[in-house]
Amino acid sequence: MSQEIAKEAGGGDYFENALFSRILNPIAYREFVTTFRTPRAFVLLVGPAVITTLLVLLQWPSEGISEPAGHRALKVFGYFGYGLGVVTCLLAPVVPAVSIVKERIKGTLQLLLHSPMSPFSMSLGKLVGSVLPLLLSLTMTLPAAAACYSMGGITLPHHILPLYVLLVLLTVQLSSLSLAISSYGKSIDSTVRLAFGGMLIVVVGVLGPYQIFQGADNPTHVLITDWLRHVSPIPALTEILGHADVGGQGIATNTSSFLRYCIASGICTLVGCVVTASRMHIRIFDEARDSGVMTEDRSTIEQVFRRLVFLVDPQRRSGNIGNWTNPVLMKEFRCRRFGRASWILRLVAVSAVASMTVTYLAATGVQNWSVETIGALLIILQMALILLLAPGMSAGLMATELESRSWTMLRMTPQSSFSIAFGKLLSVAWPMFLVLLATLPGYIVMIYLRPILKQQVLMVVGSLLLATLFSVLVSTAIGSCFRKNTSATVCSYAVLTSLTAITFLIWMGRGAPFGFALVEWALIVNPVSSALALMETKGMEGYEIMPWNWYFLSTTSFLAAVWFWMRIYRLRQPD
Amino acid sequence: MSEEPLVVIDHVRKQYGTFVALEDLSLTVNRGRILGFIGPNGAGKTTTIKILVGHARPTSGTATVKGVNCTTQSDQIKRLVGYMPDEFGSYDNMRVSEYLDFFGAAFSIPRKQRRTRIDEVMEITGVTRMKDLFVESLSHGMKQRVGIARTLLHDPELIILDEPANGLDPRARIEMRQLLLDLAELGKTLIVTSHILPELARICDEVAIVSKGRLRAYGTVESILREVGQRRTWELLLTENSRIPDLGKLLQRALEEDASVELSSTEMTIRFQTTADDEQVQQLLKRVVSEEFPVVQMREVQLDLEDTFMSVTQDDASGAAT
Repeated sequence: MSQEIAKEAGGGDYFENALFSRILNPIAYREFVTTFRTPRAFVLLVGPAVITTLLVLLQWPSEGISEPAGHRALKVFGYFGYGLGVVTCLLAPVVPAVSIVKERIKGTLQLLLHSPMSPFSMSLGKLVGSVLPLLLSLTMTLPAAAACYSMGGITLPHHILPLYVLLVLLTVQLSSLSLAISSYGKSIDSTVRLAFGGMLIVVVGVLGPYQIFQGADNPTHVLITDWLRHVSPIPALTEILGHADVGGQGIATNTSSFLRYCIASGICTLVGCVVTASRMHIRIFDEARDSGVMTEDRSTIEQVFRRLVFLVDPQRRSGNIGNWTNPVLMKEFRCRRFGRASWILRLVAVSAVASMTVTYLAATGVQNWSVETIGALLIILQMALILLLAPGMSAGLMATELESRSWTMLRMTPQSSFSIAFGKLLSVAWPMFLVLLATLPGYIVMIYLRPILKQQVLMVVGSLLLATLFSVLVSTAIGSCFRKNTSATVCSYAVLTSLTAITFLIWMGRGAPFGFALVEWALIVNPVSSALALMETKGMEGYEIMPWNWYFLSTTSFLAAVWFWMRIYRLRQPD
Repeated sequence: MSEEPLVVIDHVRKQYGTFVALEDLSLTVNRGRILGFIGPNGAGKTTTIKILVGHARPTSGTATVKGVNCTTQSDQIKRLVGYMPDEFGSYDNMRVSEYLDFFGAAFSIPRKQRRTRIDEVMEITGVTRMKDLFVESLSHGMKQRVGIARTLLHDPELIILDEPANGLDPRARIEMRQLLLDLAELGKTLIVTSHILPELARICDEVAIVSKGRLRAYGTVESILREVGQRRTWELLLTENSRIPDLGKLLQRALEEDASVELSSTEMTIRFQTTADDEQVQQLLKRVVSEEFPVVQMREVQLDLEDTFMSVTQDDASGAAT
């Protein structure tokens, strides 16, 4: 029966002949095959292999000194492992995040739900179909792993095998969660954003509570937060790569992070599968969006109550767009769920509280941290926030219009290319600016602690504003080259993250194997280096980063803005 | 009704690589008329529309609306033309009133005027009661109405609707038909494409049939029917289907060389088109009866727009089949 369905789903005779026909269900087969029919399959297969090979090559020892202890090999293996971990985290949500929502939009999900396949079978098929291409791409990195192995110092059972087991589990875990998110999605761009947000929470966010509760009196709190942090692959990864427990602050434990991660990721995967399976029901289409009752249509008492409760009432009818307001800017704000004033205010408030909390925790929790260290921590957190938000918000500015065909309508209006580009860019730059402003209270605390730092802090804030502008404009320019929102978002994330991470990697290898000039160049193109250098971060001294980094960021931003405008101008012209 | 031409398409040719989408298309639509623009899939309808709204550049020839060149003066064209494509995206999280407000602002309609205009177009298209609903939550028919409301916002002289009745239920289709007639009453010129030909026949003043990028027929529905009607269509009903092929061969031999004969074994009918007059048809019938073909009925088929369409595009269809 399942083979007959597979034939209808596009398998046909090919399915009959396929090697996996006995073990894969039709959905898994179709997902797997269709992924390899697209150009992204090449990137998916070759990308991780190229990145990891480069990482190993860049760290390969150049001096002819033998090192029996294998420290150097472990260092190279460390770069390889972390690099592969980052690549897996970035790639794992890509396919599953759009898998269900795309079918829903195209209308094929309805056909699928009317097939005799069980919800669990569909969920499993989607998961296997999403995971298989990534597992194949992981096998492409084996030559780089073999190169590490050949250096000596690392072993197959203690290093390479656990690393690959962890990466496989991570792939399955993130794919399962992304599928669950995709089953709730209604538009591709918001689902991709949510999937990447979910990935960051699972990988980084879950580490947070343990930072607060470790060593606390209540053992239940410690136990729960300790298990919670093992949902993230980072503690297990650091364990395999022979580094200290992340955030452990010197507190030694005798538990195996790797084993705990195997259990936690298994539970996480299972939860994702159950959620996805529970959504694989025809009622998924029976969720008309309730428009609610408009405030103006409510009683006077209710209106007064809402006036008091809401700073910005989401149910109040919007006023007409002003004569001097850019309509594209307003459209962008209004058509984003989180672009509404009520949501922007919430985002700004959360950022402000987070910034104050980080500063407070850093200042009170660790007595020997200097103000500069706190500042560096703040900068890194802010940059992480920018890197998370900027590509997600700006990469799809044009791709979404093209993919949803709403560009045809916008193109029919007499709005100029400049007006469209300006409105779109401002719609992203403005909330980013507000979020950045909201993190400033942390710097105010710093100035309060060390008033002499005022000038320095102002320059740091200036650098961060430039970095934000750079991130937004570069993401927008990259995204404008694509017609599909997923490709635009993923590519923007990959470029910005790589630009930041690879240059930091080069900086970490300063002295050996990288020379002074190369490290300086790498820091000049890093969006956050000037802010860190101004904050006198350890290891940044001696390099002439300023003002060249500012020149680079502003010139690239300008070119990216021009590119974006030219893309819109070209798209407005007759075909 | 005015005889002033509003839309003039003059010897337009559009080529994509080696594929010719439009070949020497010439067409004029007078002000206040409703033109039904029909053709099989891939005939060049959407390409023609894209040229008219300034989204495609003709390889040669010119297209103008009210004397404004559609290619070189595309900004002016946008103010003259209201266009609703067959598939148009709606923005998520926007209520109907906000959606219309955005497009009104994009057309630089001053704020106060815009408020009144939005109310007017919502009234015309019957979407007033939906103004607070999210666009994405509307049914297909409602979205089509909102789409038409949007095209009317800037009060264009020419409205181009690509498949406006596509996917609508019968009631919505009747309402859509009435809406188009109301727009014509307001003095708008409409170009409407549709696959539902009886609908078009009811509302259009003129019909243009394109096939394989060429204009095959153009004029009022009556004139096209007359033109195509120079060939009369006859239908023979038989009591059994075993001798249908033999009768088909007989008709092919007896009729002129380019006469078309269609056999339907399942319906036990033979339909043929011929220029033969009454006397010649009478002779033919006599011969059929004398050869003892089991014919129980012979009648002349009155053509409608669908038959005309099939007749006009028949050569292309058979060409494509071969």
